[in-house]
Amino acid sequence: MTVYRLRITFAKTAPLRYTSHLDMMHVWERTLRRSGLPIAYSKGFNPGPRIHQGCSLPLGFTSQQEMVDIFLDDVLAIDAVRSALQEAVPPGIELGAIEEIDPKAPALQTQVQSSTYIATLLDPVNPAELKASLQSLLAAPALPRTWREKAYDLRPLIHSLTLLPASSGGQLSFEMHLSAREGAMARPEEVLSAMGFSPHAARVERTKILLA
Amino acid sequence: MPLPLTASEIEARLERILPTVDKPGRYAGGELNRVLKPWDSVSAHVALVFPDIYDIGLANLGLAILYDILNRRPDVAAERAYAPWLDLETILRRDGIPLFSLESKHPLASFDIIGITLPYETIYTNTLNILDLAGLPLRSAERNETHPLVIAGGHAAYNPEPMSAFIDAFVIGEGEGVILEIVDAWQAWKTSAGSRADLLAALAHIEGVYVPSFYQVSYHPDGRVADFKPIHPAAPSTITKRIVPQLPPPLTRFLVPSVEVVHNRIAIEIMRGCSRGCRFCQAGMVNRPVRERPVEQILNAMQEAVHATGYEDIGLLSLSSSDYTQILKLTEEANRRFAGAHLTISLPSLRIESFSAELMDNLKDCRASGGFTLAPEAATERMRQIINKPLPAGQLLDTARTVFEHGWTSLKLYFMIGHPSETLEDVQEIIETCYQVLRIGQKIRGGRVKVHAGVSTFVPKPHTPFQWVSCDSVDQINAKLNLLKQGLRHQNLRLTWNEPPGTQLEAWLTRGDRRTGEVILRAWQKGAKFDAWRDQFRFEIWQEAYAEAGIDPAFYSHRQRELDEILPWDHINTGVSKNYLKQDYQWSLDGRSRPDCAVQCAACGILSSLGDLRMQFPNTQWKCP
Repeated sequence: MTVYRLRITFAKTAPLRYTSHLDMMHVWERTLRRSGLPIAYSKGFNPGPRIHQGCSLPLGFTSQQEMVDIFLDDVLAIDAVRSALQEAVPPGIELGAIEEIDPKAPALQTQVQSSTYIATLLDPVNPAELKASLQSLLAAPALPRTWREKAYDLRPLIHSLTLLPASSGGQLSFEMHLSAREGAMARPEEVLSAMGFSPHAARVERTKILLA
Repeated sequence: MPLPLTASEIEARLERILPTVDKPGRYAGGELNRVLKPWDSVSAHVALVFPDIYDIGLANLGLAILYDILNRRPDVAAERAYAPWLDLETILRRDGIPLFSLESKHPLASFDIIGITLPYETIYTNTLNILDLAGLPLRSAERNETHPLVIAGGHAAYNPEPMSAFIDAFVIGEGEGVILEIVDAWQAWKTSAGSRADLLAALAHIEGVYVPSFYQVSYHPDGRVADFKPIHPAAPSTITKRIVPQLPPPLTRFLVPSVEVVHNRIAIEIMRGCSRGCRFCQAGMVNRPVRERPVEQILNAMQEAVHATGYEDIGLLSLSSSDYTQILKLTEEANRRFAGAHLTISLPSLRIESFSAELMDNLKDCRASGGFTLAPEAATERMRQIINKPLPAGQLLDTARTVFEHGWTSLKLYFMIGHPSETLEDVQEIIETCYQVLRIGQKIRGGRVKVHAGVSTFVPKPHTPFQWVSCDSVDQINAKLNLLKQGLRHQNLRLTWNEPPGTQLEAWLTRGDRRTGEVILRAWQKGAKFDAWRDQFRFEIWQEAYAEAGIDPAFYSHRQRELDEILPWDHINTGVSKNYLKQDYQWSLDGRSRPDCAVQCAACGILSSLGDLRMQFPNTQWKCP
């Protein structure tokens, strides 16, 4: 049987920001069923639609770029797939690129290398202090932290931290480029915590996923 | 008093709050198929409220239907609100943020009409909590023209008296038709710039709408109702429930939540009402007459709903699905039409005796593996005659055999204890039955077979033939539960039961009167809420609340009423006459069962109360002979 694998890039916006990685799986399953596309099912006792999600996005974050791989039983024109999906996506998903992928390529999750995020601080902060805080994080030889009772070093997982120009509303934001490899994933809220902020002090949006 | 927050202010506050609470997706709104209209584009705003958390309320079919009907009107916007969980409630109260709708985040107080569903009694304190979180005075009498109209419906509203001080108007019966009449009356009143009393009078003129403040009750010194009478010219002496004579095509644009909730599925009601007449069953009495939907309409709705939602599960709902006259045709056609579509179609509420091997074959095709449920309710023939759920000898075991032969390996049996005149011997027979079923299963499917006995406790309900009876004593219930717990100790048997205190509260409330309202208020003030949640329920609060109100709750639960007593809900006419209920109660005392009324009309009163509707719609599929 033909298996046709497509990689869908999409933005995850406000209506879905509190939908977890696991729940996003259901969102995609239902979107595909609504679309009427010939979705491929896994074999076995409990067959499910074949969907591979990219790396998970923490609850509460929005994203300009998320990725999901779907598998179809038939080859279809990309435009036809796009228009079927366009009709079916729920509020909170905005479709981006759709491209064909070698069905034998490794799972999407294993290809993700790093991600960029923009954190916008909700409360006023002194720009100079913020800049110094970012620099001191980058200057630290190690940033020992604990996540879910496991000790790890955050520092090597941070590729860069960059202060961005203030928005018209005066809110300050900065960009983080963080490792997102399997087993070596830095969480933006951990960076915020390391800087002395509450993990809820900023609105965070993922801007990019970089693949191998 | 500070100015009330606007929708955008609430939204901005939530931005910081939601990341800190459990399951914030409950409060986000924005689900597929939700309707969000610009606030100023409509002349009537209705907030539909389920007074428990989103996870439980989202699937409520009644509210989903009303949401659809209201939003089809271009001049009306319906939005939704649910009870916040404890963590969010604490923050809302701390920060002075009023409860809001999910769609536009408007405070509930800015809506014109708040429509609350009351599906069961243990949701009453949550209802008060929601009105309070909305910043509204709890008592109807304390609200004025500046406040939203607060209406309620649902099964518990068939005895509206316990909540009558807090609700402006109750809808008795099915809401599909009447909800728009209520909106029309509200719009006309708004244009006329009338008083609150004018609005209530207009509502009282609508058939099926009960305005409690237009009636006066007096009591005998012992607490029985002495007199109940209208005190307003617009108020009818009895309020007859509303029904839709012909079921409209079912809802297909279900809301699809972005987080998992209870019963995340397409729910299609294939039939409304039940002709069996089990004497303990309020739903079976108040939902008459039996009306079926045509097979083709159901199949088309299934198709449309899958397309509109992408759901993988479809529940074909009714009170007794195997009694649907076209059930074989429906399941066959569904299998054919949805073959290979990876759908799970389930038929809850199957009757043991109207259930065939053929139907089982049809279900096998569309159902993934899983359990199977049968509800004998009682284990002895004597008991089943009394409750009017007769079953030919051996039928339960035969059906169980067929279920196992068709490949199922687990079977759930529902029983009820505490039926009128039930003895320990009757309960012992439940244990015997479970073992018999287990042995049959093991013979056919081997050692891994599981039998699950789900045992609830009978609570006499208003508008049923048992509305006059006393509950079994707490000691008796405990003795029966202990017997079951001792007797059903086996690695392949599982017993689940309802804890007696929760059942008792239900028994106190369900046949309550207006004085019960003061107890509910007191219990809520003392911290009662989420009474339906085992881990939140605090029985001692309720005991104190009754004591402080000077009311013995046993008066409601453990008292045999005289047949000529004025019952607190007598002014509510479900279409089934009180004389019929009396006769049926008498028959139960005689151990006499009554045939299915689809076979032989028992003159329950439906045709004399509501039969003219049938005349207006000659093609309706009423199952009355």
